[in-house]
Amino acid sequence: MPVIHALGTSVRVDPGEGIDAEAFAAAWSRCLSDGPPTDDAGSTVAGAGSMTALTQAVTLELITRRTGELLMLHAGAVCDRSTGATVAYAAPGGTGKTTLTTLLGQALGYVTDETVGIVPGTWEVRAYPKPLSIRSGDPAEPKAEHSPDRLGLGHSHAAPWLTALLVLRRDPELVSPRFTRLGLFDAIMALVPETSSLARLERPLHLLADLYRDLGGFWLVEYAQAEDIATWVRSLVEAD
Amino acid sequence: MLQRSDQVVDVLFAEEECVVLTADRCLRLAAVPSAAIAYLVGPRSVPELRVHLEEHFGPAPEGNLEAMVDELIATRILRRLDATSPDGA
Repeated sequence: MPVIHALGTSVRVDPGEGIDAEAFAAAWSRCLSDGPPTDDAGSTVAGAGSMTALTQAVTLELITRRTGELLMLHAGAVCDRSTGATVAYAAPGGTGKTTLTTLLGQALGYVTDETVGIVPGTWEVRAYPKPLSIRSGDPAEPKAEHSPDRLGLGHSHAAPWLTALLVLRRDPELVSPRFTRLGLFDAIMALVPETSSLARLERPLHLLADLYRDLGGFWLVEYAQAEDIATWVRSLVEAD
Repeated sequence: MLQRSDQVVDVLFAEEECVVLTADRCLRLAAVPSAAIAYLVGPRSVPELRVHLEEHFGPAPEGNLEAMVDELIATRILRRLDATSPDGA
């Protein structure tokens, strides 16, 4: 049975009969291994009839496993492949994380397009290079899972670490992007809705304040198209 | 008597304001309710709270303190320890 390694933990997965084994292996290529789970919690994620449903089930299981241990953000992230310096960008679902990740990942290492796990205090990042859920041109069509390999995304550094944190706000009407360094409380209020199980961490608001201090603040990035901000985001990790 | 609720997971103070995280929400509070939250780590009466806040901010318009306390209780940041006393004293 395949084992998915991500967010610093691992889960067994039974894709089920409705999912093509080759397509599954390709989509999850960055997370699969033949080795045993690193921590055997005894549970197996079973296929739910579609690749997208399976991805959601795996994500939920991984997040549940790391609750109370990692600071987990609804965010995409890419890293410098040689240094591991990582930029994470938090945003609600459906507002451009995957699109930005696909663009940035052509030159940087793909860490995740959905869930960033951060080790409190050291700010090491636990990668989750899952399949990317992308909708075809037709908004009525469901999302499909795409292999990061087939999208040409770079591989993550083995030990990524957070160097910058952005809160994204997409506004298709915006003529030019805006980059604003947020004050501490504005930053916390913007970030908290994009966290998972924050209240289960030890002194979580103080943890966010420590992260804010160590990163030199968080950025609010308002933009219309991913292309408008890609160069600026790249500069955040390539400068390190 | 009033006290900070056990629903409060964490409070972060900075520059007279605070952010409060409970199990289901995160709220940013202005200076007066922040001072109240800081004061109510242990049980205090409403008159004690009034004196404390007046020392820092001066007298509040009539009814403002009670309205603020009611709102902080409704958001489960504060709790009344003695429900039989309508003024919490």
